[in-house]
Amino acid sequence: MSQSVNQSSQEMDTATPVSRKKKVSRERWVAAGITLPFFSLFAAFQIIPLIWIVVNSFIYDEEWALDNYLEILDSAFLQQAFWNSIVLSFMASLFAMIIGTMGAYSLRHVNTRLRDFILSFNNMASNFAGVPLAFAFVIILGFNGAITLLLKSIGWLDDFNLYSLSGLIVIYTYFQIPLALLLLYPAFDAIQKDWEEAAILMGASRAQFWRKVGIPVISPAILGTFIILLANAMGAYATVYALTSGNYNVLTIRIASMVSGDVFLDPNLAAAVSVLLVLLLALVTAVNEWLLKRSYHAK
Amino acid sequence: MQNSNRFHYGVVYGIFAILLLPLLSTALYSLATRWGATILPDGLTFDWYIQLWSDPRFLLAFGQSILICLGALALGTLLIVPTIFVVFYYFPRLKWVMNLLILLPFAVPPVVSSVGLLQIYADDPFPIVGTPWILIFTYFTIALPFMYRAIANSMHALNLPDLMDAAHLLGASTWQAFLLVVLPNIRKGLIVSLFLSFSFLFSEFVFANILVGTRYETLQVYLFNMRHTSGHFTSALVISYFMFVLIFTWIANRLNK
Amino acid sequence: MSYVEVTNLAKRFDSTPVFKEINFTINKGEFITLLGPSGCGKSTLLRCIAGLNSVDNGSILVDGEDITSLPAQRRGIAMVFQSYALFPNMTVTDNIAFGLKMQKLSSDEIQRRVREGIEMVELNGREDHYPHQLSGGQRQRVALARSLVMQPRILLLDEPLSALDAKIRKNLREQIRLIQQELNLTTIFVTHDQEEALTMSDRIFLMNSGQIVQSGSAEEIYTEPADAFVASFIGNYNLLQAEQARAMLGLDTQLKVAIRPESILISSLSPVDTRSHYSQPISGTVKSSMLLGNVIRYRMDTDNGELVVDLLNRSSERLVSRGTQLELQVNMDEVREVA
Ligand SMILES: Nc1ncnc2c1ncn2[C@@H]1O[C@H](COP(=O)(O)OP(=O)(O)OP(=O)(O)O)[C@@H](O)[C@H]1O
Ligand SMILES: [Mg+2]
Repeated sequence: MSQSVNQSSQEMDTATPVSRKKKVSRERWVAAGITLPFFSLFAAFQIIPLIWIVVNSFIYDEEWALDNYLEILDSAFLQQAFWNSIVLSFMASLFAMIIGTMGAYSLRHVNTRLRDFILSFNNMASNFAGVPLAFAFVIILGFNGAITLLLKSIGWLDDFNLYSLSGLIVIYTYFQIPLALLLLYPAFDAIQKDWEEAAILMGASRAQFWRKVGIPVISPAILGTFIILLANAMGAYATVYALTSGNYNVLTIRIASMVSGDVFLDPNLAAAVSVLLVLLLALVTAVNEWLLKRSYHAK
Repeated sequence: MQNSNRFHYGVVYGIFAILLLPLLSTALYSLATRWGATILPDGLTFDWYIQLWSDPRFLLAFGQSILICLGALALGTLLIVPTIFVVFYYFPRLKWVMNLLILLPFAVPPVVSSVGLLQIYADDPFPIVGTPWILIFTYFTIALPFMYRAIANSMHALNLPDLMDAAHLLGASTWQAFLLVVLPNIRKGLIVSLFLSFSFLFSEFVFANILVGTRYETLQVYLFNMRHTSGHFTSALVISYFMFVLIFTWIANRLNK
Repeated sequence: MSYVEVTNLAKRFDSTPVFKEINFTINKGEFITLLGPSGCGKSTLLRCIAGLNSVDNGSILVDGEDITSLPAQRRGIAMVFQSYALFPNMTVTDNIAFGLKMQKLSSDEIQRRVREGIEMVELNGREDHYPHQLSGGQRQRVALARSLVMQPRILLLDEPLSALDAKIRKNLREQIRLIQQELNLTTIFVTHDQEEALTMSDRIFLMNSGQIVQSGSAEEIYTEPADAFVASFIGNYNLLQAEQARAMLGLDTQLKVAIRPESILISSLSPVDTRSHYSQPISGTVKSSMLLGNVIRYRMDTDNGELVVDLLNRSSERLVSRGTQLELQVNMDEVREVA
C-alpha cells in the first residue's frame, strides 16, 4: 500500500502539467463521492421529511388544495393551540431570559471557583428536561408536592395548578434557564472592564455606563438569546406531553396527536400546522436578523 | 462595593438552588419509603433502586438506548468526519452549505420532522418505522450540529491547506495525511463532541416515542410508560438515568479542559 | 510647590502588597515616563492616581487639593488605556463627546470641543466611523482625543502604543509629545519600552517591584544608573561582579560595576581618545558579531568573563570574524560602581 502511494506521488512530481490537472480533478471527484453517503442520509432523514410536509400540507383528499389551511382558520381548537404555544413560550422565554441575564451578569462578580462550578453544573442541568423533569416537578410542585405544601402552609400560595398555563410557564422557564445562561454568559464577557472604567473617568455613573454603552452593546445577544429560547419553547413537546399526558392544548401536542394519536389521524392537517409553526419560527428569526442589521454591529 | 458583591453571590446561589431543587427532591423522593401529604418524607430506603435495577424491562430499555446511541454516533463519525475533511480541503467555498444544513436539526422541531418521517418510512420501500433503524438514522441527523461544530472548529484551528501541503511534500498521500496527521489532531474535539452528543441522544424522547414507541423501548420511553407506577420508583429511575448522563457530561467537560 | 504630590502611597491586593511607600512630585506640564518590568506595579499606580483603585495609605495632592478619597468621576484626571477602551456602539464623534455630555455642557460647546479634538489628532473625515472600522493607530488617536477634550488636570497613558506596529508607534509618540507640549499638559506615560522612555520624557521614573528606584532625566538615568537593576534594565550595560571588576580593571571595589558597551574600545581598531583615562589592555576573543544598523555589537570572551562591545559602524572592513583575538580597553571615566 505504502509503495503504491509512493509511486503515485512520484508520478505526480514528474507528470506534465496537463495530466496533473486531470489527476487533481479526478481526486476531487473521488473526494466528492466520499461525501455521498453523508448527504444522502441527511437528505433522507432531514430534508425529504420537510419537503414531504410542505407538499402534503397542500394535499386534501388526494388533490391539490388549500383546505388544510382553511381548516386551521376554521378551527377554534387549533387556533387556541397556536395562542397557547405563543403565550407559554413567550412568557417562559421572557422569565428565563431575565433570570439568565441576572445570572450571567452576577457570575462575573463572584470568585472563579464558584463561577466555574456553576457553569459546569449548568451544563449538566441543561440535560435535565423533558420526561424526567416533568416527573420531578410533579414531586415538588404537584398537588401534593413538597414545595406546594410548604408554600401553602406558610400562606404564600393558595391555588397553584402545575398542569395549567401558569404551571407550564414555571416548568418551561426552568428548563430554559440553563440554556439562557449558557448563551448569555459569553456575551457579558464581551463587555470589557476597561470600558466601564473609561466611562467613569469621563464622569459617568455606573448606571449611565450601562444605559449608554453596556445595554446597547449586549442587547443583540440578549435579543438573539430570546429568539432561540422562544424557538426552543415552541418546539418543546416531551415536557408538556409527560406532564399533562397530552391534555394541554399546544401546537406540538396537536401535531403529534394527529400523526400518532389513537383517536383521529390526519397527517396532512398535521403537516399544515407544522408548516405554520416553522414559518412562525422563521418569522421570529427574520425579525431578529432585521433588528441586528439596524444595529451598529452590521456597520 | 461589599453590598453589591453580596447581591451577586445571592443571585448566583439563588439560581444554583433553583436548578438544584428538582433534582434534590427527586433524589430524596427516590430514597423515601413514603412521602404523602407532608413536607418531609417518613423514612428512607434503597428498595426503589433495588426494585428498579432488578426489573428486566428496565435493563432491556437501558441496553437498547445505549445501543441506539452508539449506533447513531458510530454512523455519524464514519460519515461526518470524512465529509468535513473533504469540504474543508477540497471545497472550502462550500462551507456555507454545511453551516446552513446544520441549522436544520436545530430549527425544525422534532415533532415536525417526525410527521414526515412517520409517513415516509411507514411503508415500502423502507418500512423501518417501529424499528431501531429509524432512530439510528434520525439521531445521526440531530447529532450532526454538535459533531460538526466541534470537528469543524478543530479542523479550522489546524490550518488545513498548509498542513496538507507539508504532508504532501514529505511524501504522504492525501489519504495518509488524513489518517496520520488530520485525524490525530481532531481526535480530542471529536471525542468531546461524542460524549456530549451521547448525553443529548440518550435524553431524546420525542422521536423515540412517536417513531418507535414500545416496539423497541428506549429508556426515556420506558420512563414515560412507567408514569402510573409509584412515584418513588420513577424517581429512582430518573436519578439513575440522570447520574448516567451526568457522568458522560462530566467526562466531556474534563476532556475539554 | 509641585503640581502633583504623591506621599507615602501604599496599595495591597488582599495581603500581597504591590507598593508600600511611593513618593514623588511632578511639576505642571511635565511629561513623566513610568518605566519598569512587567508586574512591577505601574498600572496599579496609575489606577490609584485615577481613582480606579482605592489606596491603603498615603495621599495624592493635585494643585494643592487632596484627591485621595475623591471618586474617579470628580478627579479631573483622564486616562488612555492600552486596549483603547473605545465604546463599540458609538461613532468617533460620540466617543469623543461622551465625557462632555456627562458634564452636561451645551451642545454648541460639545460640538466645538469635539471638532477641536478631532483636528488635534488628525481624524478628519472619520467622524462617523465606528471603532471596528478604524485601524489600531486611528483607534488609539480617538482614545487620546476623548481624553484631551476633557481638559484634564493630569493625563495618564497606560502603555498606549504597545499594541501598535513600530512605524505607527513612532509617529504617534511624536504626535502625543507635541500635543502635550502645546497644551502644557501634565502627563504620566507608562511603558516598558526603554527607547520610548528615553526619547519622550522630561523625567523618567524607574520602577522595580513596587518602588521607584531612580528618577531623573533620560541623560541622568542613562549615564548614572543608581543600582544594578537600573544598569541592567537601561542600555545594555555590562554588569561585572566585584571580584570580576577587580581582576579585569584593577579597580579597588566591593560593589558591582556597570560598563556601557560603547565605552569599551577595541584598541587594535580605533585610536584611543587621549582626553579619557583608559584601563590596561584586556585580551579577548570574538564570540559573535551582530550588525545593528549604525552599531556593530561584539560579544567577547575574556579571562574574566564575557563583555559586550558596541562599535560605530563606519565601514564594513572593520567587521571582525569569529575567533579573532583583540585588545580591549575600557574608558574608566564611564565606569560606574552600582549597589
Ligand atoms: N486586581 C488585582 N488583584 C490582585 N492582584 C493584582 C490585581 N491587579 C494587579 N495585581 C498584581 O499587582 C502587581 C502589579 O500589577 P500591575 O498591573 O500594576 O503591573 P504592571 O507594572 O502594570 O505590569 P505590566 O507591565 O505587565 O502591565 C502584579 O503582581 C499583579 O499580579
Ligand atoms: Mg500594566
